[in-house]
Amino acid sequence: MNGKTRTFAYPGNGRSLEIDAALCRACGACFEVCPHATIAPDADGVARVARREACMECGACARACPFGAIAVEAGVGCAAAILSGLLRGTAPDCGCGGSDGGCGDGPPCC
Amino acid sequence: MPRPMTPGAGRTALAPPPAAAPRRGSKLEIRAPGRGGNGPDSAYGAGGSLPRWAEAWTDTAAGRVLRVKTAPGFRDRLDLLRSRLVRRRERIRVAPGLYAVGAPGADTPVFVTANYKPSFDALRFALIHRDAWLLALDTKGVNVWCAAGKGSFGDEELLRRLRASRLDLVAPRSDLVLPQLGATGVSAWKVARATGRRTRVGPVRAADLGAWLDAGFVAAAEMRRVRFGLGERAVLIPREVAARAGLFALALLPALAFAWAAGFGAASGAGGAGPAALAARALSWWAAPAGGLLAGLVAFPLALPLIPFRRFSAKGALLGAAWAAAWLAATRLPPLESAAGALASTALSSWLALEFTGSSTFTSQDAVKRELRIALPLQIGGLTLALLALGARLVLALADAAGGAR
Ligand code: SF4
Ligand code: SF4
Repeated sequence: MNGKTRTFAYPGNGRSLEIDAALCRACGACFEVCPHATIAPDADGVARVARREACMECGACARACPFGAIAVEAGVGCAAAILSGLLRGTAPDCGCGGSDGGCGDGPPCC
Repeated sequence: MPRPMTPGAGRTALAPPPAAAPRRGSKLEIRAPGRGGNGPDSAYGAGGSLPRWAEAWTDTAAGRVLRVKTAPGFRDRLDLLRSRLVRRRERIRVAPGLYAVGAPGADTPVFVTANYKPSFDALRFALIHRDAWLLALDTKGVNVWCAAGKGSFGDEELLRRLRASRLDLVAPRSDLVLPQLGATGVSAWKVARATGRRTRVGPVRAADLGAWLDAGFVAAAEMRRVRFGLGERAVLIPREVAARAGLFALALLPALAFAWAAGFGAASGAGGAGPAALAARALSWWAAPAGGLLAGLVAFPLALPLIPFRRFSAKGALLGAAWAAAWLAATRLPPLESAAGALASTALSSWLALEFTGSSTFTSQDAVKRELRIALPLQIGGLTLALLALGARLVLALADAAGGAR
């Protein structure tokens, strides 16, 4: 739990993440892309959710899986984006790229 | 890469890129050409001056590309600094397309990135003393992770850019190195299938690329993890504060209103209050919301993992309330002013902390939605009560004044 490898978790994270072990062919693509080490292989190399509260539901794992074994409802976890989406009646849009700030650099955000 | 089994929808029917005439900007370093930027040399003009971050033109089987420098120059440092301060940092960009590092050949790996200049810069600096191709996708100046979340760093743009840069002529056997954080938008196996090229997933941070390459494309577990340490959080602060400068100014309005009301009270009682006294009174109230804003914008990101509670809005409210307590003890203003200040500080800090979910690296949309549903009404309620207190104070002052005039 030092600064570098500290696990950030957030209550309510990862609720929509589902791995269908029957479809998994243990290729490892999902562990590779997950930025929070949420998914870990079991003894047979089959993908398992190891730390659900670390999952930011970014959708990278589902997109990386060639066998369609992972489902997750992906979206940006940004309060301002969600709010502006609610106000405009659209999907959450962080608008970074437009005129809005608020999004982080390198890693962070949307 | 295993044999893909799932049908890849829409992987082939890609329209050819629009042929755009190169537009010359006065500052070539930061101004991308029109939406085209296709051919290796369409963007930065033929024979014109090189962008400062490029060394020379280099010839390929499909025309010239720019060979980039791999050491940061003054302008690059300035661009990075600017990207941390300004709101519209997506203007700090390079033209999309293919670039060379060193002397790459037909089977040298192609590193894919965004055309946000700080991302592009981090990549070329990480590849110092190496040969590589760089492919900057047109993400409209947005960094890799954000652009991948939006889809502009996606399969379609990657395939389009590969075709536009004629990589099949330039480097027919090269592997594609995709940034890990781009995986939200780019599906490595679909790209592999569509291009016949091997795809590899690079580490999260460009700085780890050297170690990753030296290890034979193997990433240590730590290289696959997004960090959000003190340093990563601290660099976000200046831009956030700059972006909210207006709120600090806005908070002066209720501060002046309270001071004005207090002046009336004083006028009807023991002598009038001069402008200096009014200003002092306004500032002492202003300290409450201003401190709340700073709590949410500065203290919260810095202390994030240390603050009790797990939800951002609760952490922020705690910081705002702590400031309010200190402020109450220090100023000892009359009840309505005290209540309004304390509520404003707490609500503002709570909202800004919740907004920081957009900058943080680990909150999911569904979880933030759930928190928002509970926290937002409380935050709005707090600010509304603060405004009601102000309104009540003004009414009392006017009644006082009317009484005094009679
Ligand atoms: S959705 Fe993102 S954070 Fe969650 S398991 Fe998949 S890759 Fe990891
Ligand atoms: S990417 Fe899919 S098939 Fe490969 S390990 Fe993960 S879940 Fe299993």
